[in-house]
Amino acid sequence: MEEDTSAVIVGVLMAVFGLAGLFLAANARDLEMSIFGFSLVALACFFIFGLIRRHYDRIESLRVTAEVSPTTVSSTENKQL
Amino acid sequence: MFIRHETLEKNAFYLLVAALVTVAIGGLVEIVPQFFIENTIENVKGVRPYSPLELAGRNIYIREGCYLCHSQQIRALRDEVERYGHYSLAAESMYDHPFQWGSKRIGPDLARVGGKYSNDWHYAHLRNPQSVVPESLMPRYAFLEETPLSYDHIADDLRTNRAVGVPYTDEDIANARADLEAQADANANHDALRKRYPKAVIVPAIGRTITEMDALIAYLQVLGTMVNFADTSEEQLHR
Amino acid sequence: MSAAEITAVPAARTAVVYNDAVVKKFVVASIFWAVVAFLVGVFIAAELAWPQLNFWPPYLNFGRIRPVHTSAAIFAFGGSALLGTSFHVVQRTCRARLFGGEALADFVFWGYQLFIVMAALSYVLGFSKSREYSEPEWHLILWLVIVWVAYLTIFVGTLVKREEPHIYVANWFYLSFILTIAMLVIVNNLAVPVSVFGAKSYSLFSGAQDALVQWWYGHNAVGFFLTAGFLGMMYYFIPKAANRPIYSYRLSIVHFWSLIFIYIWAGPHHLHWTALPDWTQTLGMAFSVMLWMPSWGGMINGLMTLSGAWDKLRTDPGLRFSVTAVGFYGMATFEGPVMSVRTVNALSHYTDWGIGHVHSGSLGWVAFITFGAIYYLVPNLWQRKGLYSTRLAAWHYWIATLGIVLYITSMWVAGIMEGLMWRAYDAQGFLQYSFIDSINAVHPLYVVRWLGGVFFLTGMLIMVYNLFMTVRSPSTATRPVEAIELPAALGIAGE
Repeated sequence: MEEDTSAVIVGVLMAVFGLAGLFLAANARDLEMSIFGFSLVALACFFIFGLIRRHYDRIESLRVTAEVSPTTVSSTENKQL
Repeated sequence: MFIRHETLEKNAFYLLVAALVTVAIGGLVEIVPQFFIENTIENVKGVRPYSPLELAGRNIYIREGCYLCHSQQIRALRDEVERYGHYSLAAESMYDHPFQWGSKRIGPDLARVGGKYSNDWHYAHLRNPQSVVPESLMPRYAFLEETPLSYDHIADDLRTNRAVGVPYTDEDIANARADLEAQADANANHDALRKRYPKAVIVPAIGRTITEMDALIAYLQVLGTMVNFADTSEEQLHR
Repeated sequence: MSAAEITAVPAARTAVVYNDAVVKKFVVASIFWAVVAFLVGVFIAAELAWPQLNFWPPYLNFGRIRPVHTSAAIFAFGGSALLGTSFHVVQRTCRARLFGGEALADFVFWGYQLFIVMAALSYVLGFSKSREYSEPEWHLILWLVIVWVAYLTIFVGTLVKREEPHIYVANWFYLSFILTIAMLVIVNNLAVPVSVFGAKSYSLFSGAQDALVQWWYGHNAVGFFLTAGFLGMMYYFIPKAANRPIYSYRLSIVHFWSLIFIYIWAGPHHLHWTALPDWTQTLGMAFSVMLWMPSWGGMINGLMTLSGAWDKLRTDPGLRFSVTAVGFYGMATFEGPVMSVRTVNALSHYTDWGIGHVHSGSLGWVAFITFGAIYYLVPNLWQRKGLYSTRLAAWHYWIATLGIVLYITSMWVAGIMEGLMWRAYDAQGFLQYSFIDSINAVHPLYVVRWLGGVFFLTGMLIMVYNLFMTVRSPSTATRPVEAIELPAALGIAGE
């Protein structure tokens, strides 16, 4: 549950940063600001996608574990590097 | 001490506050008085804000990392004063946001390079340093001559400098573009420019657009020239 | 592969599942950036020896590339190592999983990597504040501050939720590093952007005051980023690898508080004989000389922890790196105070002696203590039997050490030569040498320095191969998750 709260808060913040980045890039006066703005957008997109993916992967792996052996208690596994 | 260390080790916030207070002290004692002790900046005449062209040139100096090889600070040491000129005064960099004193010399100090070489020498040297100094380690900056100076927002730069304490007047800001163009034009009337920015060196971009190299040279040519040391008394320099 | 690590704990305590994923990410990042930083370093050293290598102006010109090297070495390589190890150490010494959840930890990781990449790109594109070790423009610094607040939140949050009553000494150092960097970065970067949509900004301060703020920052970037933070690393990984308690609890306390107090005052030693007021220079010099003591306190504590375990240096190359690092730390923290004396500084300032000093500290102390920590961490985190090859690690050690020796000796000679040449008078009373004469004189030493860098980089590439094989090779196949016994002193302060 703590993981989900964390994911929601950070996800919302990343969305805000991404939007800020888009705004910066749109009005950028120099190349640096436009690259920075777009990179914020890219980071936000990949990051939020990653949060959503991990959330559903977790649910999936719990479901699979429950199916395979109903008595196994699954620990919180970190599947990614 | 007054408290047992155990108290700090068992409470993250006490530890945090104690550490923060401890590291804040040195900075406060050393930095804060710099803004209140009057003779931190010497009472000399002549130092003025950079002209728009000089400011543009300075920004190029900063962006290219010139400060990494060239210092701009002559120390109060005999051999240094003999090699480069009068030791640098705090007043001379008082409008430098940020300071460019440098920390390494892979090339000579530039604090008083203004007026030492002709504009033509600077063009040749920046284009290809080895053509003027064969053993030089300096990279080439010919691309500056091929890059038109972008100065549409130069008034904004003056305005921002004013916001951080440089005394640009409304007149200076209103005439920023005009002054910049005048300083790069040998045939223009320079009276207004010279009134606002005494000792500004004309770097003519004759018959072509003003380039980044013109701006950089305008900046280099003013370095160290603002204070007339012949006219300055020992008392003024004393701190 | 499961990152869950179940510790053998007394019945009263619950098992903790640590967040190892973020630590692994930072370890990999640190290794990657080390290669980048050393490679760029070798390149700029080559540019100084053979200026024809500035062949792609403006992008590869020394002036634009040098900050890429310094930022990569300090923030990318060093910073990733610090963030990663601090997350590892704080969890284990607090017996608590990182506060804030995986999402916040991942934000710190990816946000920090974005800062690194954007900073390097910005220098090459021609955007720099010209403040050493703080070159990134305002928008990137603002982003760094956001990431840093998240980092501090995680670290302090984990301390607060700890199961151990006492906060272990390594965490005092990590905490002071995080806090002080926040203070330094914020004050040194006070500036007004020309436009919120543009990268260019002008610093709030100017001239002599600005110089002092920059070097208050610059010296303490060294003192807290490169020293206090890495002392935190030392205080965990040396006792861990040696399986010994820290030599003296009392010494830890005394040297910690005196170190973080005294370090801050040392900034003015970068500005001796300049237009900075004399009183400030003298204060800086006095405190810089005093700084020798708490620094050597740390060195003694680290070295003496090996009491009764010196034989491990023969068999554990990682520990060898860590202990040598502490030796270099002692050397650099003696050299620093010497160079802070105004008379010495009159010779050394602006010369290559400063560069030599920086690299004995950064290669000898910072890089080596990091290598020691990483050689320990990688087999543990990836749950391998051990390092793929201790022989390769030994080769790394000797090649890197040779590299350091070449680097610092060439720079000592170059620096002193420059200083002496600049102040030399001939029999008639004129300056004997022109500036370019000093450049010519040090050219062969620049080649030796470049070679030292090549050796150091080669050692790093050996490490990369060794660690890659450690993780992938069947010969170091996963060991079963076992009960881990903590050395008696770890996590428990007290005599």
